[in-house]
Amino acid sequence: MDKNPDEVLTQVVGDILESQAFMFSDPLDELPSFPGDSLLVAMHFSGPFQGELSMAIPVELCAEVAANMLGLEPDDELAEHRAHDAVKELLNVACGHVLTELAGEEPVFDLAVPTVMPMDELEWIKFINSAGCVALSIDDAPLVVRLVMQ
Amino acid sequence: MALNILMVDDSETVRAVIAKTLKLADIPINELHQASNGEEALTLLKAHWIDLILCDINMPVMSGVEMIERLQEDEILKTIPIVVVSTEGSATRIEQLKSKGVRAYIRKPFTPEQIRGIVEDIIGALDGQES
Repeated sequence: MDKNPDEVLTQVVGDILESQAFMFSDPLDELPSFPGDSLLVAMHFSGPFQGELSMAIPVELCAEVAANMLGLEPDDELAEHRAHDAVKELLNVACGHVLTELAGEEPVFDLAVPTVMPMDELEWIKFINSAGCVALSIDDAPLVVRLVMQ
Repeated sequence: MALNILMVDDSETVRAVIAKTLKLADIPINELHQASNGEEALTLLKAHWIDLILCDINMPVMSGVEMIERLQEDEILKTIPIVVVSTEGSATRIEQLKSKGVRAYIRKPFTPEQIRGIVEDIIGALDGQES
């Protein structure tokens, strides 16, 4: 594996946010403080190596992602309803691309279905301080992505 | 020729985006059906004639690969063109899918142009079969 996983995560997640949700991200140098109601979205993968890709994201940003993917206003009820589904799909697409970037196009990975659960402040702090995290800023909202490989 | 299309994806958001993309691309649609996994799709296929299946791979209950294998066991259903729309980028996996009868592969995130190009190719092939 020649590529730096942190750089790959930053690039891939930024590209997918841009192409799927028309949102632009910037890498954050400092760990972001707890933004309030947040979600932990996670999915396992297995293949030549196994691990988990996960993402800590403010609830408000999830609705914006859903709205942008569906071409709705952020306060549209449908965007709020689809928020969990939209961020699970965002992570799913990111996972496929991260694995191709890191392992190349030959290996086959099995991707599990993403899960989503609420995250409190303590869980946020523990997550962002764990190894394998990169932090991004999207319209001043934080998004932290973590890749764990075993 | 207006098509009966079946979208199979566990994400409601993706199904909504694909539906919107098909409309934007001016694909002639007669009926647009949805299923959230392979098992739902197989049930739906027993009740409706479908001209084209757009399906994901990683889904709960029954994956896209298992659904495709089940379709290949049926003399009629195996003739329906299948386009896989998935996040996976493995060339090995794509070749495996094509060997199971998959007509084309679109990697997420996709553009309306990609969907349009592939569906138009398939419509052309279907029209050719009819004439």
